[in-house]
Amino acid sequence: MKRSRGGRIAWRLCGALVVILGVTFLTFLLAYLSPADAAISWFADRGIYPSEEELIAKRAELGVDRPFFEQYLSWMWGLCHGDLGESLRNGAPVADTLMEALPFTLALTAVSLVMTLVVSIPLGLLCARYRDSAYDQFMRFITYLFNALPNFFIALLMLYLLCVRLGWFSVIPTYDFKGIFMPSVALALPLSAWYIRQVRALALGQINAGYVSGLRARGVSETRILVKHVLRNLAVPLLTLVGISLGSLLGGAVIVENIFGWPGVGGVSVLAIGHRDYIVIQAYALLMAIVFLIVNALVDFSYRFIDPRVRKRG
Amino acid sequence: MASRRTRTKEERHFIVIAAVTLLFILAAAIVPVVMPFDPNFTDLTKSQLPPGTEGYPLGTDKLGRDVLIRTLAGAQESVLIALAVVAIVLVLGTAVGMIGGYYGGPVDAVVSKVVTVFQAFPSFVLAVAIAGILGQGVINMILAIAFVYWTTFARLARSLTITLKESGSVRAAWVCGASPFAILTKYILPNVSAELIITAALSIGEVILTMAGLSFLGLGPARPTNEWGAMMSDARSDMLTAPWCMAAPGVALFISVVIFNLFGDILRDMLDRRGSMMVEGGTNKAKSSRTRKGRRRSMKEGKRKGLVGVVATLALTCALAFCLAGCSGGDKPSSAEGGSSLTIGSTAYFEEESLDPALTWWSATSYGFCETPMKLSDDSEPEPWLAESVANVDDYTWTITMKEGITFSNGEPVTGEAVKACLERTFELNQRARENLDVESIEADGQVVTIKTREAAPDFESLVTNPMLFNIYYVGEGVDYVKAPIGTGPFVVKELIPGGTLTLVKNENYWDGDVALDQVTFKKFDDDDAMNLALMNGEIDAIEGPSAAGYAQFNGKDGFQTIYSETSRVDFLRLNMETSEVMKNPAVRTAVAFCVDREGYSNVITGGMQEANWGVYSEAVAYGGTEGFNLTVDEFSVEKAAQVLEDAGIVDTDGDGIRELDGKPLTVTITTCSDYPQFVYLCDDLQSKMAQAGMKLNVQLLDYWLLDKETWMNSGTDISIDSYLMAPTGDPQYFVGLCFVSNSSDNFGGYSNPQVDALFNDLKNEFDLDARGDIARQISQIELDDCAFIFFSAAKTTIIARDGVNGLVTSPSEFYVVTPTTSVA
Repeated sequence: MKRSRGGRIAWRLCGALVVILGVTFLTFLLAYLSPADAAISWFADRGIYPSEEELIAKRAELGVDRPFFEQYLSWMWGLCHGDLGESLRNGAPVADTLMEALPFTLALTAVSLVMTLVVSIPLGLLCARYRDSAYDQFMRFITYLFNALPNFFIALLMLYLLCVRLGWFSVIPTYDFKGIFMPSVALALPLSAWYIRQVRALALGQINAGYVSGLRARGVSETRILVKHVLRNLAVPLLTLVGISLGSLLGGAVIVENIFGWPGVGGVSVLAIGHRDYIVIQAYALLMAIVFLIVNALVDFSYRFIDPRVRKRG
Repeated sequence: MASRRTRTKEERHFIVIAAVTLLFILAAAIVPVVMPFDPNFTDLTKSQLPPGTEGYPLGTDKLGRDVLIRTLAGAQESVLIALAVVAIVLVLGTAVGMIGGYYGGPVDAVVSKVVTVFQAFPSFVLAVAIAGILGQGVINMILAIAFVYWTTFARLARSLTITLKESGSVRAAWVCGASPFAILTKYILPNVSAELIITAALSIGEVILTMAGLSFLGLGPARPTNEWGAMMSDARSDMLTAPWCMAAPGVALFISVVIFNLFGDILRDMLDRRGSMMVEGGTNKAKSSRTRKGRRRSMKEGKRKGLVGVVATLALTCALAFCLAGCSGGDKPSSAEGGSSLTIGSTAYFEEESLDPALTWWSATSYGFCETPMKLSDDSEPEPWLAESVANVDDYTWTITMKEGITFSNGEPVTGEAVKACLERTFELNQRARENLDVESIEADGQVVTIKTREAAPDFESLVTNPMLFNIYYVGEGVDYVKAPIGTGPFVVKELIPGGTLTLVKNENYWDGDVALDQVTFKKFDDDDAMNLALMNGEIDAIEGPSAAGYAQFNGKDGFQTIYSETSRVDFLRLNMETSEVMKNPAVRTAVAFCVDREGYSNVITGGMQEANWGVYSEAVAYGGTEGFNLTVDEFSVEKAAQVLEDAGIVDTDGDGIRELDGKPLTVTITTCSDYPQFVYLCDDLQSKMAQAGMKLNVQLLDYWLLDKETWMNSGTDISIDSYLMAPTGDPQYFVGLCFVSNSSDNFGGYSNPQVDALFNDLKNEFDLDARGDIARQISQIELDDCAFIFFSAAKTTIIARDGVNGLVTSPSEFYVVTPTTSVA
């Protein structure tokens, strides 16, 4: 199984292509299996009373009377041209609607990810530094707490405390840092709880490594070892965590955006669910998968910049 | 062996936690079944009792249901379903993964690619998409979660199997000719099961949370449900008045997730230890003692220095809090700034997408950018507005004389010609306008507009006040009717942001004096709770049409005022008279009518914002009320409902608590829009009351209203809940022609009675007001007898505003909200 470098890259690209095809196929299949009749929904959402002929004509126009593979191919053809179909609810091009909302979701995800890292890396390292101390036990309790609370509960509590009781934030979202703060914190809290445990475990895994013993023997302080040396070695596993946790952020955004009125794709999808607008739901799932795939590809790719060992190998 | 060594600390912990978990699961399985109370039993006289009330340790919810009992009952749906889902994905995922791992080659390639494809989706996104496309329901929810989680197990099982495949025992079995099935089940499965079971145990908590999240979005089990996520979603609107309704299921959810997470952790520690003991054998003892000693040392050191950690955490928290306080900066957006800007919120009435005065006519006068020739006074009498007078030439001809010197906001004069152009456009586009007035021709001469009709129009004077037909707006080249229609009103449309913000500014050229406000903003909220919080926070100044929760929160509270007026708006049930066999039975219709708790709905569910209605039209119109009518149903009584069914021979023959009609269980479906919480509450209450009378009610919640007959019929419903302004101009003809006459435009339930059709024809030709009222009363009596509609509660138009807002109006017609004199202080 020895391949040249070019061959290896081609092989990986091939694999990625298969996954992308699979993702499109799965999303299409989802919508295809939907029990709702697209033609009836189309008329219903416009308050029109269609005759049987109109329904048949609409089905033909929407293309839902054609065989499965033909529909799939034509949908793929549209997809390649950036056309995700039209919303059954209001006839707006789905791609436009989602692309308008996507920056909001990406901003929300990015801000909460940064918050999570800023909070959890120092706290997690402290847990490792003072493992089994009162502090570590306390953090264990806190992280357990946030891991077991549903994110909508946290979001509602925040809304109640910070907006109503303390009046620090407005309920109507503003589209600036202040507006993004609340939903990001609501997303970041449960994720930080998970990260703190992970950072602690990863740091403890390094503590018995040879280089740490060496540093200890040279009299370097524990804190300095953790911050200067262990943290650098945590970069790669942390990056992997970032890739994985992005999925939970994108998922959590559905509920959090809904509660705080943040105009991201989560809100669009919830509206679409209410109307059984499966064209939008389908496009939403596909878009999220693509974002998720791209970020993980970037994460894979960036290992070679962060970790000299990977760079040397290949 | 166990007798030889004492149990380690971990083992003791494990025994305790495993026992707790087992007890918990048993309780979740058994308690809801043996509990002698019905968790869905509603009692509107015991609404929102706080925790600690006698007999209700955790209080009651809005409908008087016991929160403790509901939460206990919810354990079954929340916990047991999660366990079932985990069991399903464990078995399926393991099977697929082991097969892929064992056979390798193309089989494995397919398995691993499919797993990769599923894992390419963020897990909650995929669950939402699957459940969203399949729709609400417990099975769909299970499917959605199973599709997401099976990959975890498939992947793990596959990689473990690949490792084990090369082990000696498996090779030996293969050499001896064991079948692949035997190898997989006898040699591989026992060795991979520990790891898989740990993963399964650790994912139970996550599955419970995912399920709650789906339920919270309305994708959980159908009503009646006590699933915790759904309970919390319902309790959201009463978060401020009855927080215990949300806290109880929230805490239950939390406790169960903690229990399963603890169990998973301890199980992992246990099994990992066993595994390492087996592998490492003798060396293990020495090693563990070493680590234990090491740990004790580090703990000592840790306790001393743990303080540093606590200080650092506190510092970080403080820094965050400062950052938070800093960016909040205290510059709360205050709409009162400048003293002349007003923001009004609503969840229902503001049209999001279009302002066209011909089509979305109801917005034009209430938002103050259009006016009509005549205006309705507070006692529903037409009085001149843009017109000087309206005169009757003969039965088929009317003239409207417009006032001189009025201009549209773009400076064009309001002439007879301009009015003619406007009316012609409206009547061409708006079918409901045509149904109300059959116009033959419109002529203009100076300021006089002459309208000829094909049929007599005795209600013409009141029609002229109706914006549905007579919004006066500028028709000309380049006008954007959808985004920026041009009218004569005190305000001019400045901007419409689809999705819900409409901004209007003062009309500098207003014909009738100066306009007090510089700017009015109407904001549509998708979420009622957010709107109430926004009013509380001072981000908006008023709420038009508050929900019951909002009303309860602000009515009579310091700093807020309630403005309301009686209207002809009535909430009613519309029964399916065309395709529903059940509803065609008059006894069933009467029984349903007896089960509607009209007082309870009006006083408790809407918090006193509405009044019980026993007739057809509300008391707000002269021919309404109950006086002089012969009421079949004049009280709320489950016993009478049962009696009516009993008398009609509809009895429970198979003893399941549900009566049979023509050999089939008497099942009724009710549909409403989930945007309107008070209707959802009514459904839950009706479900409980009808169950007591021996009828099963299914509740179907949609995110939209059934606004046309085809959609209505396709929803497969027997009953829908609607709310109509039955006599916007005070005249009865409007609603009769809309809903009662055979095949009329809003007669979705397919009701038809030739007597009503004949009386409607009389009404169309009757000019005398008293005689029109009499005909309306005759029609009302027939409706009461037929019981195809159940008019159960009369609404008021209500506005809640903060103190300092003056001159907002409510009117019986709901046509007017802001006026030139509306101001803020």
